[in-house]
Amino acid sequence: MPHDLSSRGQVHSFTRLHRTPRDAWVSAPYVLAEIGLPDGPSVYAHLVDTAWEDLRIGMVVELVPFVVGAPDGGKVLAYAFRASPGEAVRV
Amino acid sequence: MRPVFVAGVGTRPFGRWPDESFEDVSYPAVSAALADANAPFPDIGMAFCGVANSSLYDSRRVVQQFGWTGIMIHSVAQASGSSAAAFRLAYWTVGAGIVDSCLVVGYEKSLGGMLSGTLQPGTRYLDVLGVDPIPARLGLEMRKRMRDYDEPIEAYASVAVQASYYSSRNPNAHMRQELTLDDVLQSPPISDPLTLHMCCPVSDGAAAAVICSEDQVAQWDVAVPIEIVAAACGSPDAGDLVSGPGADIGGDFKTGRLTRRLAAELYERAGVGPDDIDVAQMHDPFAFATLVDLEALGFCAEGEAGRFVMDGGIAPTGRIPTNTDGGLLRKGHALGATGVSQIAEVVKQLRGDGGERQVPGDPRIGLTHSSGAGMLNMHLLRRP
Repeated sequence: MPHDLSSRGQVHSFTRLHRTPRDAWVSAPYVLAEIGLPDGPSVYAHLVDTAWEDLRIGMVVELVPFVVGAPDGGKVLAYAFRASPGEAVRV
Repeated sequence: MRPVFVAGVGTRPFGRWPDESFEDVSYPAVSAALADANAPFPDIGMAFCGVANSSLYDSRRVVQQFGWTGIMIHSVAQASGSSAAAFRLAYWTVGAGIVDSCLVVGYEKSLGGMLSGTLQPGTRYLDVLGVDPIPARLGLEMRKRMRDYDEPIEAYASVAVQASYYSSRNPNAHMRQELTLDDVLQSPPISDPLTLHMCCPVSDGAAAAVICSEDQVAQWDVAVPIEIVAAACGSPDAGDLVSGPGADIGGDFKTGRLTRRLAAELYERAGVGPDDIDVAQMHDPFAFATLVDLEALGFCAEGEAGRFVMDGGIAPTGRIPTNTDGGLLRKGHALGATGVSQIAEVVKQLRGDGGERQVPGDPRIGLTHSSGAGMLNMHLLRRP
């Protein structure tokens, strides 16, 4: 059954991947985060538009569209998170 | 269950052997184990092979190159734990009195690097987005653990340095160079803060063991039989389902919850506690795992493993010499071969045959901890 999740969350952890995984349509290096949502679950996602030096566990992030290029030249709409200037979220 | 003993062990050096067949890779290990046990192959009652990636007939060939004696040959696949699972099934089979002896063979020709891989094909959107590669899981968990326990990055580097101390003294190891803290910290970044030398190499290799009943020990005139005192095994239960969005391997790799549950079973069955154990081999594909396992197996308190390792706790003279063959990190990880390779190392240590890496103090009780596809196989071995 579909369930709406919050579009804002909190960074539980983050890492910068240096090798492009097999089968990935994105290229390393890139930043990944585990993001806790106020609804309970946590998700793994790309963390974009945020300087590496500014990343902190506990920082608030918000969902943004994330377009990934497919090998056939097409584009796929996915999701990512970025630092959110808004208020803290309860996770 | 009647008493069961390891009569002999053998290891084929781990490395990359692209030109060798499965029979080539496993032959030296099996020959050595049979010779070590003083066991003629026709005496063997049943065979159990452990291999993660092979075809239907390979385990048959690996065993039948020693003779077509008509025995049953099993092939067990359980990812990194394949031959630990094979060893346990052989232990149960001899213990139940079905046959008097079993040959256990772990062998592998590895397919490729885990550093670029995901655990479970079919979770396509995760692969395409590149959000759940194995090293990222480790990088994320390391950062959390370092923060939660105020643990320095040197704790993880110390695990690799200690492993390299052992592997540099192990002629069967894939990675024999002894490393310094700087070597580990300055090695190429994989998934920050995880660096290359905090990850195991993927290896080819083989290991074998011959196990048997007390009567067979006498018949073969085995010099120093090592008793298999207990085994514990299991898969994640509902409470272990705290992994990421990818394959449901369970959360043992980050919480040690399944290891803790099965260690309690193992210790109760064997009538020992962690304080009685003299040497241990733990599943350490990443330095992170050793810290989680040291705590989950009861060798130190939760949150203390980093300082425990930095204070020499897993060194030969430490509280619990750990991964004394170099572990997966430095001996190498030949998937299907790794489980029996751990058993072989404990047997050698308990017999005092550890060579340059022998742990002092006449070790008598050893533990193996093997993980594969999120499931665990643990064994407790004792020199009578």
